Amino acid sequence: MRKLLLGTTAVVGAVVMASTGAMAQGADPFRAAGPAVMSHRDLEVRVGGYFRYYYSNTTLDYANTSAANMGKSDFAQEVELHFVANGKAANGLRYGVAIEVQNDGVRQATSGTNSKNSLDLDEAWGYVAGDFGQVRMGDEDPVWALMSQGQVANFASGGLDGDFYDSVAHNRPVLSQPSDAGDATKIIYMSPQFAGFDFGASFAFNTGEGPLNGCTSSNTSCDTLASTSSNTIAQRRNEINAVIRYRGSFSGVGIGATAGYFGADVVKNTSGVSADRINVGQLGLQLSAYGFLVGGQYLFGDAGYGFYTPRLKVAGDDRNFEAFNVGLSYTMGAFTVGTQYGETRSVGVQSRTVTTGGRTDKGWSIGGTYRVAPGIEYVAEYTSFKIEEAGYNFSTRAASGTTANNSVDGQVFLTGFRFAF
Amino acid sequence: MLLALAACSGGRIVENDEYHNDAGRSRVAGRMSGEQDGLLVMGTDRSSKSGSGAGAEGGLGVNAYLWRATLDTLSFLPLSSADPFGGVIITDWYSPPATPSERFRATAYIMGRQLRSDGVKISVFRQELRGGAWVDAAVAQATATDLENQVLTRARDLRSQTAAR
Repeated sequence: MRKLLLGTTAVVGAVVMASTGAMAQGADPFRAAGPAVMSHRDLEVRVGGYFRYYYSNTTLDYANTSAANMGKSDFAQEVELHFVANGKAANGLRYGVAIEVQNDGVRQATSGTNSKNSLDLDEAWGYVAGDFGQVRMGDEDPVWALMSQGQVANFASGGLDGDFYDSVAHNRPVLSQPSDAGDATKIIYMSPQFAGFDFGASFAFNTGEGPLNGCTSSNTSCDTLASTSSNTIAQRRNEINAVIRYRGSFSGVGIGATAGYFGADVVKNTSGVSADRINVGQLGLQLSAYGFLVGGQYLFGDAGYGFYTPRLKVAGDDRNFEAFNVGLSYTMGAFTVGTQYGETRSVGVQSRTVTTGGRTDKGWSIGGTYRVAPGIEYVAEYTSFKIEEAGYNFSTRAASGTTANNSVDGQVFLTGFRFAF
Repeated sequence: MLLALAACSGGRIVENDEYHNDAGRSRVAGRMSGEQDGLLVMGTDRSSKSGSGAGAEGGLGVNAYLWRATLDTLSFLPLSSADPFGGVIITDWYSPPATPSERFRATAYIMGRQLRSDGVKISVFRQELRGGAWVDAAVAQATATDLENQVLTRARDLRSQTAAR
């Protein structure tokens, strides 16, 4: 383990300092004394990037209010910068770091203001790998997402896992895609592959990301919050994931299958209703042959409106979470066309004061990709969704107990280019 | 049991690109930077894949599968010289124990980085012992072709073994 730590430290040092031949001479006064740094021949540092530019046309119920009306059309761009360092030690140990910088649409550098072009970190992780498998640590998806199979998202902007959410103001559908689990700072182990099988597990103490513990305004904002008497906080603790995956091919047909578990405790409310522990299972299967990819995923268990949110421990309410998605795509030369359908049935809002029914989120997407040249793609897609919940008013976004505005419809058409280097 | 399985280190290392990545960049096929996945700003390029047997990763100038298959096929002959960059393998003379009065040597040329049926050319030379001196003798036309076919079969096996992993 000591060797692993030294190797990782060396990589980070090499990236940050970015000095060259002088590194091993110890002449740099800003560099802490430490073990001799390896030759650059053992290291690879890369910068990659991504840029997308879309036109979107959105139709959404309740987008207009008495005070404000919305237009339907918009242009939008998004940028990612990827910094990747990989190394290999003489004993065969592989190691490295991956850092993704992006301009995220919803981070708020100034309270109440969407500073959409501010840069922030998405994933940021380091790893060591060898015959024992891989240990990955940092802000990264859990193995639930990393090793998932069955999701068909290889067309247009990604189907129900794509970019249409960025064009929906509120009342976004919850369609239970693998990457919804989030990037809480965690530790991940993923095994080598044996006869087509590999497995993995990941663990996060808390839901927070980044270097700070989150205790900036009050104790209840802390990542490490375990219980509170002030409110019910739907914050996960001790999040654990385990996945087993199979990949192989038989007579030219590629097969991928996965079975996974997502579990987490939740911050306790010592003065009232707490939330239940999350326990969700996932099964996925995909087949590929002759350019076709067909796949699906089924999720089930104890959770709230999404597999990553808890259900309130309300007496007599043990409604389960259930979701599935299925998809089909076809690739021929530079073209890929595909479609995906997803549905989530959940307990919904669970108001303690008025009666609300179960919530159903349904969505489907159809679209295509034309690969103009390596690293340049033209995409177009149409996505439609509907959310229903009896007793919930989607116009005021509050549990009302009435039959008014109990469902919301939305449609998004996206088209544009995306580039990667 | 699973951890014990991992500890026995008999498995294949799973590469980072075999895990799901929700970044927008990972959804785009190919790179504007060509075969390179991003721009190399420091260090040594490690991006070469052995899937096509192009040979760059192992420091070979020719197809890795053909190179390895040729060495395997001609391994019954003593090796005289092997140039992995030019793709030339020259063996020394060898007399089969059953026929000590004749000897063989072979020269193999691997033509390039592609795994294709005309990517290897083998010449076989034969000499007979007459009056205490070795003199050149004819070789059946099919001998070299058979050896080439054996190399191609072996290369195909090596490639399918790699692809299966």
